Amino acid sequence: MFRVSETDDELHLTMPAVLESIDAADELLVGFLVRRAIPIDCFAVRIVLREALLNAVIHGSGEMPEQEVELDVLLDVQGLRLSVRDHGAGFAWRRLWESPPAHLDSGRGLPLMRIYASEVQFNEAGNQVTLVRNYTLQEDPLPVPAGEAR
Amino acid sequence: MNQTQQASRTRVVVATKDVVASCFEEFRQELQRVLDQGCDELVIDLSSVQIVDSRGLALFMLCQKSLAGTGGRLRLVTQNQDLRQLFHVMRLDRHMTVSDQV
Repeated sequence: MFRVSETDDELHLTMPAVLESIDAADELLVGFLVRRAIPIDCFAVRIVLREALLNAVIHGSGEMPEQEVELDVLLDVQGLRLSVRDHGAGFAWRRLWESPPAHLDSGRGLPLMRIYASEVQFNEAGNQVTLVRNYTLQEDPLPVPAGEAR
Repeated sequence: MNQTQQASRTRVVVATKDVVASCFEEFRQELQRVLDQGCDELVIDLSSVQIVDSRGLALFMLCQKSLAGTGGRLRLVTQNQDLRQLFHVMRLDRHMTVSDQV
């Protein structure tokens, strides 16, 4: 069951561990940010949100709808703090963090979080991740493709 | 997704929604149908797409690998600067062409 609670600077979601929940959470978070006119790179936030939830749904919960994934969003003085928690056993995130696999069809989630989040922190077990995205004007820009002006 | 056919062996597939995990399988099957028909160039028009997640990126890489096996090529089309930057930082543009026009 999808549960939502919201205050001026917090958003909390509990959702079934299915892929469609990620789309719903994305839409809710975008609405949350737009209503508050938050000066933040919304695309970057959506990327880290989706990748964190994807890990929780697929790897942490086995895409089982009876399992729940929890999302907590907090706006603090630094930026947006996003925590995703599943009830799985966790994973060996340190090994993957240091040596991402070169699989053609997997393994891009952690690199995406590293690139698009200002900070990434896993709990020891690996079943909770907290990502921070600083407000705009506090971030170094991403590299620009060759031939394109910023 | 919609398809059109241009010069001889170029196939254009228009993505009508975001390329994300929830529609990965649907998208994969559609692209496989196009690849099975054979083409020299597969163009995926992402003009209506706002976001691509890691599953979407993987799908593009799988397409590229399939095409490369027969000497074909993949081209992604988008004017969205966020997506173009995403493809660049994830190095997809080393393996396939990213352009802003079909």
